[in-house]
Amino acid sequence: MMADMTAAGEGRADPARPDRDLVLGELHRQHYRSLVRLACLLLDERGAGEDVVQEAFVRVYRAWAGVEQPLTYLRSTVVNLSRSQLRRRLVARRRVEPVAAPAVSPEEHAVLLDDHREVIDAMRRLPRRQHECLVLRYYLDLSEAEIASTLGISNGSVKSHSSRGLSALARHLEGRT
Amino acid sequence: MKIEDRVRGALHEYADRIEPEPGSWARIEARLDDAPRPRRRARRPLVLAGVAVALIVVVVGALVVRARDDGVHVSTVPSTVTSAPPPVAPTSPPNGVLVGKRGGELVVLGEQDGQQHSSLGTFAGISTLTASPDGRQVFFSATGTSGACRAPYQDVTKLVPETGATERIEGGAGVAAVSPSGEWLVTGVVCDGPSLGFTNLVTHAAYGSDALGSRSTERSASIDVVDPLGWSPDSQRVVYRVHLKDDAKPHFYVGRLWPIVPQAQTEVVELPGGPAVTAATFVDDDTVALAETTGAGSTEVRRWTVAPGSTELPSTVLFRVRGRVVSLVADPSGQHFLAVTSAGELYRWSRGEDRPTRLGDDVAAAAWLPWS
Repeated sequence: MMADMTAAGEGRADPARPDRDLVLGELHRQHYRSLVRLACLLLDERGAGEDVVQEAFVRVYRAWAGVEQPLTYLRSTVVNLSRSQLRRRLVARRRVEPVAAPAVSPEEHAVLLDDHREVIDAMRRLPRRQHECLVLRYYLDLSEAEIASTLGISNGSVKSHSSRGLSALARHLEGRT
Repeated sequence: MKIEDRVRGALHEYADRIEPEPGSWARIEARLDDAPRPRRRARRPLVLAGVAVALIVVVVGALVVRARDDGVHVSTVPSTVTSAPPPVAPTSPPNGVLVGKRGGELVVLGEQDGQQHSSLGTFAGISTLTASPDGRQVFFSATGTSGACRAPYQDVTKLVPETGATERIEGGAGVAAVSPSGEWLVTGVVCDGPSLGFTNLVTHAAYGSDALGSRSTERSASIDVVDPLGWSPDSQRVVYRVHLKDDAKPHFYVGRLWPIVPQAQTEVVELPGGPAVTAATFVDDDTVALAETTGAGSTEVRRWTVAPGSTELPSTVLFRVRGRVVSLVADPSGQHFLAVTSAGELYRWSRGEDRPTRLGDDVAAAAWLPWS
């Protein structure tokens, strides 16, 4: 299970605002790994995932004066940068070849159980918002409110995206069995 | 099984096996140092400058062609982009010893008599130091300011002796060594997965490299601390000490590592080890000196040719020092050695000498300095 998300960087009051380096160092220590994994789930690519998370740390560092909840800001930045990355990739693909649904790599194919592989593959075909909501809910175990805050959407939207995503997944997986 | 459980299981099955590369904190810090905040307004002048440079290149190119057509000899057209010249490699033996005292004072001693020539300042908790080949820059690790990970937290700082200016190079990193070419600084990254950190001193790009030369996260996860100890004279290989979790004895390696060489050419050779081996340094490109504590409470420094598979310490003893040597440094010629003992005594030994000369005490770290 993921590390305690409230342990570092949340709920800071201004007078006792901790030092930027200290908080970021602690966030890095506690959450870097899980953020990389989150980015990899959104991007399907490890190298790009690390790049995105490192860039997110840099952006939080630079925007520090206006950052109230560093961990939420960090997660949002990771999601937004992953989205931008996917968009760029899509444009690049359009220029060179017809868009194909991303498939699992041979390495993943070898190590994932069949059922898990099918689920991951099906999730990658979901609309972006639904995919993001499900990853944040079922990988990071975030609450609806936390997902809403991370994605910058309402609680109701989170609920509907998650519900639609799950239904679509269930339909897709049932159709295959 | 409920769909929620299937999703949760699949996500964890897929993602939990992903382990980040070591050295991420160093790379984040390098990004902060390297890339200034983008300014939108700067784009237009940049574009204009680019157009201007392109025009200059075209005009100069046309002039060159015309000059050649006219039969005029044109020797060189100055490039619009120049890179920093590589630091000059030393040609003479070191003429000074850089010493970090246990109290934190950084001083320069005469290499023959140990007399103090100058003081470069006081920096609490100096544990290692190294100088660029031209002696114009000194790098040392000392008590850090950020406190980002394990205690005692250390920063690597650059000092320019001529001006006294200091600059924090890397946080969360311990021991450091500059390559004889002056191009690379290697550090022991401690903050986010112990690894070797390489900083290019010309481009300021930072890289992290697995100390065991392997991409196996399982093996790398067993590393507790990595201490780079020195470079081969050709600046291609690093000798370093690795402490593994649940293993009291240190392990010593010589590695040709990325980014110094391409990934496909990386090679790591384990040196003869055991609890009695305490320090190592390069003598020449293929030979290292290893310090081994003897039962009599002294240290024998032996010469060993780097070769995979050999695990026996050779019988050839270069020199002996009273006490337990914790740091061993050779100059790029491999002729002159410095040894620091656990009692803080500093010794110098040069080839041809019967025994080492004691240069000082209360010493935490020492390095050859081709300038004094």
